[in-house]
Amino acid sequence: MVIDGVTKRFGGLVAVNDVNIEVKKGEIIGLIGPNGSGKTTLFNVITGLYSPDGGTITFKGERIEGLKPYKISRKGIGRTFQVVRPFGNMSVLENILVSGMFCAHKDEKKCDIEDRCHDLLKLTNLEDMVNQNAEMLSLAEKRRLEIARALALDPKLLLLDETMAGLTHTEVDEALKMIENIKREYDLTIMVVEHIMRAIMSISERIVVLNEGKIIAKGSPKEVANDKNVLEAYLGKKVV
Amino acid sequence: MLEIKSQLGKLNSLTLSLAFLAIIGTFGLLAESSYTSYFYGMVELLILVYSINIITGLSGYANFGHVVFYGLGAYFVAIFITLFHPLGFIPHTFLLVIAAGGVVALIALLLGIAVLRLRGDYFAIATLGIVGVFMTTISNIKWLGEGRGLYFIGKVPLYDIKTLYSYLIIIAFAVIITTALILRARLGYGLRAIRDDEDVAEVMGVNTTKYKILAYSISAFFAGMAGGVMALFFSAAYPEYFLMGRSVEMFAAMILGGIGTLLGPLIGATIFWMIKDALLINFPYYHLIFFGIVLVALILFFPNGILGLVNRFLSKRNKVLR
Repeated sequence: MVIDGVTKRFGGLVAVNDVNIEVKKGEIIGLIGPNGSGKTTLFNVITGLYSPDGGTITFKGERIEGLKPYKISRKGIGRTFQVVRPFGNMSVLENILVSGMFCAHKDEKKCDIEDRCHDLLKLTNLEDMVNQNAEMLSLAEKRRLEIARALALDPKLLLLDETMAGLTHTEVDEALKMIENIKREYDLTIMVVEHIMRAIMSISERIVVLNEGKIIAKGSPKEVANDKNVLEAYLGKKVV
Repeated sequence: MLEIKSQLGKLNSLTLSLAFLAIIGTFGLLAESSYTSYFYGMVELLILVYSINIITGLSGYANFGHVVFYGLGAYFVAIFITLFHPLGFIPHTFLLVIAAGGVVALIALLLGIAVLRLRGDYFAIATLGIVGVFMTTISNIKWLGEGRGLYFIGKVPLYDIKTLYSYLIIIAFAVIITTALILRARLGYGLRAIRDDEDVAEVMGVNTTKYKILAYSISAFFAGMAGGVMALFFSAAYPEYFLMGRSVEMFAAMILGGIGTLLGPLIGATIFWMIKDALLINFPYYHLIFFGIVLVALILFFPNGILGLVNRFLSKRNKVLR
């Protein structure tokens, strides 16, 4: 996927400003930045919830910017949400069935879709709560449910929006392991937004840093962590 | 269809509702006409509640204008007979009722394309507007008899109530089976996803606009048929068919039973009808006051409807009725 010069304005505020990112097939790319730097907005532009005011997004050789969200997701982009948003009145299985059904191939039968969804539940460790109402799950379970729901789309690219926020230390470790598992098993490209530095440093191969809508640094986790601009954006300038 | 067949042998919402309908159907047909008219009203309300449940119950889009489709169905039948009776062309009246449903569904499709771009409360307000537009327009067209209504007495055979009751029973069976099919199909999952979170549904691949319009149109189809039968009952179509009170009735009965479910509308319509009738007979002047109190109490204490209450007990035995 190539993001080329994408800009999104809300009135006078430029939330995403001329962002260029090239996501290579099969990599895990991290997206970090202080609060309000435009990470989630960028995700919303990629998935079609917002249409960009400028720039292009190319996915598998096709232009996708400004398309309706359901078309983009059917092309193979799945995402999770920063504030968890499961379908609260549906059971865990039904949650996953929704995306499984709507992105299924024409000749895939309903029982096949259900099998596929059950596999996903096993992978995300939710198989014991198949029939539970999604509203009743704990935060960590809801986040795993969101990942499973995105995976049911059979995506090529997975956008994870702070899937580890609010989790305990052990839960973060489990989530990291799970994400690497998923990536291997489904041959995915993953884009991660995360605030937990320990997590994002260990998981991503490359990191892009946004600040006030602009890219201020790119590179390997180590390079980024020592970048002057990044330190300034997070911690402020040295006074002395 | 296969899935539906496999469900028929077991005790579940589908078999329960079909069995109940079969019982009141045969009872209504065999009993004295005075009993039939009691059940006639009940089954008509049942059809309307099931039909509004398809759009409002499943997708969560509050449709206060559902009564419009009912009225339009009645007017379609009246207009058709008025136009074609002089030419000597009158098809079987049940076909006419089905045609009324079809035409109303088409109107709903066009309305839906315009109105379903609106979300949530804005849609609800627009549906209120739709009621006003249709009612005012129709009661001001001279050819449609203005406020007096459009009569076609004597142009079709006069029906006894049992024939029309059997029409309603057929439509009721159709709407229950349709609801069951929708709940198991992509359409049902898509609509329920929309009710919970429309943006997320869209990101998960649901073409929300298409499914909302489809549901709106299907729900209008059944309401239109019920309206068509109503026109045959009175041999006339009146602007009063468009009165908001009917919409509120459907809405209240749907909530009373449990929205978005297969069994809820049946329970809601039946109990609503029984309470309404009993209050009307016992307190002819004050029945609406009491009725209001009963409704407020029910909704306060059972927000998920009667079915929600039943499920609270059933869930202890690991069973849920939908």
